[in-house]
Order: sequence, then C-alpha cells, then structure tokens
Amino acid sequence: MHRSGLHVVLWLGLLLVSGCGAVAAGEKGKAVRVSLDSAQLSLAYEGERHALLIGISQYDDDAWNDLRYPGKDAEDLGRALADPRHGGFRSVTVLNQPEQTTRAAVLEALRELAARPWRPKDVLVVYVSGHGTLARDARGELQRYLVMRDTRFRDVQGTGLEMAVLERELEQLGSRRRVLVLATCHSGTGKSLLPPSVLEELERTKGAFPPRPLEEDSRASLVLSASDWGEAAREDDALANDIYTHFFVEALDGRGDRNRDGAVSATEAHDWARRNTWTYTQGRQRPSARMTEVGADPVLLSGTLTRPGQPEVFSYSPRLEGFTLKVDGVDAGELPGGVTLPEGNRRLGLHKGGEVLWEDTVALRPGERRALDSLLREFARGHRRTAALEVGALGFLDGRSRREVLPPTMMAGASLRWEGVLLERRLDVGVDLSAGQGRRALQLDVGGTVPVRHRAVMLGVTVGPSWQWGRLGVSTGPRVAALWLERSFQLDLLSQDERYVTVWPGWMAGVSWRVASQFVLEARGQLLWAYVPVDGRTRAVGFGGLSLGGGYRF
Amino acid sequence: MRAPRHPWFIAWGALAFMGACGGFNNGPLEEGTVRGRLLGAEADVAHVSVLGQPDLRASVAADGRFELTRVPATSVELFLVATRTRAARARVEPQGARVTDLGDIDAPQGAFVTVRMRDADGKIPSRGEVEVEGTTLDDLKLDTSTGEVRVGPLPAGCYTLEVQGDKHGKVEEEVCVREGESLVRDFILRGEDDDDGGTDDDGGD
Repeated sequence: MHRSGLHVVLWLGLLLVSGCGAVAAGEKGKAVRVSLDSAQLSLAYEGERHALLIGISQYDDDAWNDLRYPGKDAEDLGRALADPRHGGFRSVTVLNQPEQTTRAAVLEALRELAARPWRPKDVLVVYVSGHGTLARDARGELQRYLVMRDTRFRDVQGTGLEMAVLERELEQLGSRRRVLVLATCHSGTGKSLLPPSVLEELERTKGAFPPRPLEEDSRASLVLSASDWGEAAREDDALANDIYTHFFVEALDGRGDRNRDGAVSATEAHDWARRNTWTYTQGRQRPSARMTEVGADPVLLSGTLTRPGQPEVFSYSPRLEGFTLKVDGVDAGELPGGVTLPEGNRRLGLHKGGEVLWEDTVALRPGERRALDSLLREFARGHRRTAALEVGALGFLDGRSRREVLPPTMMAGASLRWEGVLLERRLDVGVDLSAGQGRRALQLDVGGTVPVRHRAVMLGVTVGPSWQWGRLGVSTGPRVAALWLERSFQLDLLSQDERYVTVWPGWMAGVSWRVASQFVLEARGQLLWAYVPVDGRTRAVGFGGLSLGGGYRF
Repeated sequence: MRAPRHPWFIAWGALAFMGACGGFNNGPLEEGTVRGRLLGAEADVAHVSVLGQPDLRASVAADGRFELTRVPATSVELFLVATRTRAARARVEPQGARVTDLGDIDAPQGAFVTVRMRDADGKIPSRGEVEVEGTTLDDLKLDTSTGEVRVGPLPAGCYTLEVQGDKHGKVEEEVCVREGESLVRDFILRGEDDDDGGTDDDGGD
C-alpha cells in the first residue's frame, strides 16, 4: 500500500517535470539567440534576394498632387540592391513608369512574384514610395490604402491598393524574410491626402489621430515605415529623395553595418535611416518598424557576413518610444531601435526622465541579438515561476535521533516557485514535493546495530521574499511541511512497518545562480521544528534538509 | 487581509490542526533470542538463565537444545547448567529482534561449594537456606542432619553466596571457584539484631 503511495508521489513529480517541458515548447516571444561563426551564419542566411520597388510620382486624378521623387527613390534603392558589391539581389523589379504603376499593373507584379518558387530563406523586399490615404472599406472600417497612379480620390476604396490586399499577397509567399518598406504615410499631410469624409472624422476625433487600423498588424515579417502612425513622410529637394529613402539607401553602402559583421540587415538600415531622418527633420518625422515574426530579422539587404558581429539589443515597440537604453550605467542609444554592445555580462537599463523602468544583467555573446521586448515581458509578467528538480538529504539534526529513530534519507523531488504572488509582489510562494528512501542501520544502546529500511515523503509550502543581485538570488521565509516517515524492519523476530505522519513548521533559505536566462542552479536548506513520539514519549528535536537542484524559469 | 484563494491553503491549515499520527517504538528492538545446544545435557536438571536476571531462564530439551527469549540486546552472561555436575558461563551480545546462535556448548565440570551453617552457640540451625545471587541456584535447603548445603554445579567464576537461617540474619560472602573445584564455607549465623555474621574458611580439596 505504501509502495503504491510512493509511486503516486513519483508520478506527480514526473508530471510536474513534463508540464514544465510542455510550457517551454509552446512558449513564444522569448529572446532570440543567434550566436554562430561566420560560416554558419552565411549558411543560415543563404537564399536568393528579390525586390519589387514601386515609385509612383504621377497621378491621373488631379486631387493627388504629383510627387517629385518616388520614381527616383525606387531607382536609387534598386541600384543599391542590385549592386553586386552591396545588395547583390538576384532580381530587382522597379515599377516607376506610368503604365507600371496602375493598380492592375501593381497587382499583376505581385502575382508574378507569388508565382515564383519561394524558399523560407529567400529574401523579398517590397518598397512603395508614393501617396497614402485612409478610407472606409466595404465593411465600413477605416483602412489604409496606397494610392496608385489611377486611384480616384472619390473612390479610394474601389481604385486604391488596400494595405490588407498587399499584405495578403505577401503572406502567400513561402519566404519568411519579407520586408515591406513604406515610404508613404496616411496622415493627410506630406505625402498623404485624405478624403473629406475621413478628414471630418479626424476633426471629431479627440486624439491626435485615430487608432491604428487592425490590419496594421502586418503579415509581412518586417514592416519599415518612413514615418510613425499619424506623421507625415516628406520629400526633400536638397536630398532629391524621400528623406527616409535617402538615408535607407545610404545605409546600404555599409554605413548601416552597426554591429560590424560585414552585412547590413533590414533593421540596421532602418535604424540608420530612422536616426538620420529624425535628425534631418528635427524630430518631425520618426520612422517606425514592426517585426511580426520574431527572429525573422536579420534580413540581409547588403554585404555578406564575414564575422560574428557585436552583440545587439533591439526593440521596435512603440511603447518604448523615448526610452534610453543604458549599458553599465552609460547611455547606449534611444529606443525604438537597436544598439550594439560590448560582449560579456552587461548591466542593461531602460531609463526615461530619470526613472528606471527595468534593469537586469544580461550575458551577451558575439553575434547574438536579444529582443528587449522579451526581456521586458519576463519582467512585466511579474509572476515568474521556477520549476526545479532537486536531490538532497533530510534528517534529524541531533545525532541521537539519527542513531535511534531514523537515519538521514536521500531525497529527490521537484519544486515550483511563484515569484511575487503575495503582498504586492513582495513575497514568493514555493511548493515542493520530495521523496526518498534508504537502507541504513539504527545504533541502539540496547539493541545494537539494527538494519532498517526507511522512507520519507515531504510536501512543503514556503512563503517569503527573494532578492536578486545579477545572477545571484537569495530567498528565505517560513515554511510548513507535511511529512510521512516510515521505517521498516525485516528481522528474525520482527517484521514490522512503522509510520509517522505529521505537519511541522520551519524555515527555509536558499540561494540560486542563474546560469542562463531561464536556467538556474539552486541550493536550499530548511530547518523544521519536529516532535516525534518514540517509545510512547514525545521528543522535540530539530529536523533539517539540504538540497541541490536545477531549475527552469518560465 | 484577503481570504486564501486556493483550496490547498485550507487543506494545509486543516492538516496542521489534525496533528500527527503514528510514531516509533524501539521496545521490540531492545530484546533478542539466544539459542544453542548443551552437549550431553540431562534434561531434568539442565537449564539456561541470564546471570544476574534469573527470571530470564529456559529449560533444555532432551537433545540439549535451548532457546532463551527476551534477552536484553546488550552484553550479558549466560549461566548454563548441563548436568548434575557440569555447568558453564558464556558471554553473549544478543542483537535486537534477532536470534543469536551460540552453537554447541560442551560444559566443563562444575565447582561445588559446601556451606556449613552454625548458630552462635555452635549448633545446627533448625532451618536454613542458601542462594547464589543472580543465578537459578536459590532456596537450597539446609540438611539439618549434617548442617550443610551442597551448592553446585557452579561454572568457574565468582559468586555471592547468601546464607540465611531461621530467626537469623542474612549473611553474604563472595566466593570464587575454579573448574571442578570443591570448597567448604562455614557460616556462623547470628540473631536478626546482630548482622555480624562470620565465616571460617576450611579450605577445600
């Protein structure tokens, strides 16, 4: 009977462990580690590069004013991408002639793209420079539209290219490295014009701009926009380009290679263009980027990987707009965007207006790219959990009880700890279950050496605070443990099992060392105040245990 | 203070108040059994006991086998009487809740002590008895015709003889015997108010 009880306990432990594995397998959005040598890196990015660049300068409907540079934008970008010394794209299709920029022609070009055999590693860049606008679709929802040469101002819905359609076309491609670059805007200023009905609606809106349309959660892997939502994208005569495009092209000649790995990725080019656009426009135009498939970038647009780059930390989350990333207490860059860092253990911090949003020590290796969002997500989630497997020993503290009542027992078990679930996140709660058995001998003054098989099962709950200093963690707190102790004698004159079930109060203290972002080594000690009936009399003695284990944080 | 959110908080509390059940008992581990076989034993007189605890005794079967139970599981000495003339002592350390087998024991010739009793007037007391302390040799009655008690067989070793006569105080004397030895001890018994008993050692052969 008790044998089956022990099995139940072991099964529970196993379930706990397998449960942890299931969580780990299904989890998304964690830090993306890319740390390989240059040869492996080149292999990883092997794939053909193709580009479809659309620049629409002339419009049939007089309501849209002609633009000066979209055609040139597309050509300049195409030149940089096709240059074997830089982009080395296998195909670059530029649509900037009037007959190439009608809605039908653009859709046909997209269909031709879709007809190609695409592999996941292939890179596709779709670039659009021209007017953007907003209009109600057939369901009455506000949507973003790209204005084609033949788009009519009075019928944007019927004649414009809906962003949703464009993204649907992109989604059908087999490539996972799809970059949509929009040198356009939908704000009604700059390279944008809005229908009167939409303008009236904007005037009635309390905010500076209506909420982002749902379809803005693009299905492209990476969406780079020349301006943030609600801002104008501008052309500039001095640059003879769309401002963002000018700096985007500039980045491809190698200047954008922030991490010095020999190649310019899409986000590196964007960050280069974003910072320069922001400076050039004196903060009036803030290009934005969104990554919908974490890990899709780096999409290499120029150059080849020759070496592992410096470690990078990045975030393109709009909510981090205006935050400064500090590394070891020194300003490293503004967010959103990416920054390169020296390798090694770095103290990262997010600061804004003298306040610290988050700080942590992160181990960075060459070639590694860490998404700040995932680090923050772990922080923001607050209720972190650690599941651990442990081995250790449990027994009475005094020698007499160890000799005469129960020898120390080797234990194996599992624990689960929820961090910050009580008292406004000040206290953790931990639950642990362990079981063990042994064959030792009692040493009795009268009775001599008596062999005994002993077993123990302990189920404990601990509540207490924990502190972290970099990789080191310390926790402590009161504890209550339910114990089931058994000793079994199989002797000439005695075949008997004795059991004792009780609940003891005590105290636990532990230290942990984080060996990776999600794996920790733990050592825990516990003291319990024990009262044990022996020979009809109750002994009040100390009971304690030490355990070592490995934990998975999720 | 919020109420506990999880049922297991309540379960813990209930368990804590339930207290404990069960316990451990080392009693059965403090005694053992000793067995063996006395060679050439005379079953009608042969017996085994624990020296110092004569209540712990066992008889011996016709084939000489004996089994002495509930022996304290610590170092003890057995007092073994095999025949009317042969006896032995054996030191043994029984193990708790287990059987300790001494194997075959060939008891040597025992010693005999002849106790002579006289009162203060030099007369044979009307009644008297002798006991060897800590052994099964007790209540050995005085032969009033001779005024003597023959005590034995005693395995080699030292013993305390307790001699007591009717209306006389108890007299004790330490005596050590060798294998096969015969001794004579004279005891002069005095009144109960006078505990100054005395002996004369006449030696032995």
